[in-house]
Amino acid sequence: MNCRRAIKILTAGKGSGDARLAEHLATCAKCRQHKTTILDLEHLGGEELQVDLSPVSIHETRLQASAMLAGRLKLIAGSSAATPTRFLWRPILASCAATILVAAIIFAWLLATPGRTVWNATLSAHEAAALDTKIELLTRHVGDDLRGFRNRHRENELLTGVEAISASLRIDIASSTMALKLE
Amino acid sequence: MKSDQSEPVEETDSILLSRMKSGDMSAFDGLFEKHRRGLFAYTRAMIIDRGLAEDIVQECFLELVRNIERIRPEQGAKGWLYRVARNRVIDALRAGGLGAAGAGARTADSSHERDPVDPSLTPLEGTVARERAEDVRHALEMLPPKERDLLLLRYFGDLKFNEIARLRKRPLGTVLWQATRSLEKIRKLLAGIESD
Repeated sequence: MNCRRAIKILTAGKGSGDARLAEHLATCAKCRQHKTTILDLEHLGGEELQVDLSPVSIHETRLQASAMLAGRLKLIAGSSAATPTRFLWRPILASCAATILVAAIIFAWLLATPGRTVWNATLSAHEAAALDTKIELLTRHVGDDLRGFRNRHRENELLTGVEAISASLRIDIASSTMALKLE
Repeated sequence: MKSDQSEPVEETDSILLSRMKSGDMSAFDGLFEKHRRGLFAYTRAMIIDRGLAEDIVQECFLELVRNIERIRPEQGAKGWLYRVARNRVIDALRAGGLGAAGAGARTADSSHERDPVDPSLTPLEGTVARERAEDVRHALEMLPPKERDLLLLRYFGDLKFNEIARLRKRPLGTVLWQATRSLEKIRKLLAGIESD
């Protein structure tokens, strides 16, 4: 056994009858001194326990405690006569529970009505916004299509004009050629 | 070594507490008789002033009566009383700076009250034992209040280490380690006193 273990056992007060501890104590002066210190303290403690409070203090304490106990009993007896606790507490608890329940129902109803209105308004606003977006997208698409169509139409018109001019030129050329030939 | 007989003692305490709840004054007397000396030894050694120590012990027992409805009988009265006493002692130490400083006054004041160490000892042995006891007391008073408190609860109040651990809200291992350290200090202080 080492000193650390021996001191731990001695401090915890579990060393009586331990042969290994006794063997260690026979060889270790430090642990022997530790044991002596504990015995000294126990001895001193026993000596101090013989000193009592002064008779006046003992008497005062007993008197006051007795008065307090008697007063407490009177209080208990008085309170139990005035308020029969078993009879009174149950109806109070039941009425409290009922009040809380009714309040909860009213509160839920009050909260539910505006809640529903808000939900409907939000839904309508959302639907309207979605429709607007759709219309705008469609308009943009149609506009693009119209612009394209118009451009194409202009191109066609130009082409037709050019063709017509070239055709009339061609006719003019042919007729002037024929006139020349006839001459 | 003091025997660990607290289980049956706690059982008796719980019966006394139950009887006290029903207004039995003799139950209070039983608890007062059983614990007042230990509490007095502890408070006196902690705060030195005998009058103040008496007041604290008195207040502890009156607190017990005041709070009797809140105390569970199975817990016992001992731990509760020492907890109240310890709190009062700490308050007194904080308020008045009492403690080791007044050691000399206290030993001179109350050493005459104690019985001779052991009537079977010869006068010479008695004197030696008394001197040794005074040395131990001086060594105790030189410890810081927290360490002194632990040793006094164990050796003057006769509380078991697990009761002290509950009281101080510390693990048992920590309390045992602290006690070992404090005992080491006492041993060294005694060695110093003897060599002087």
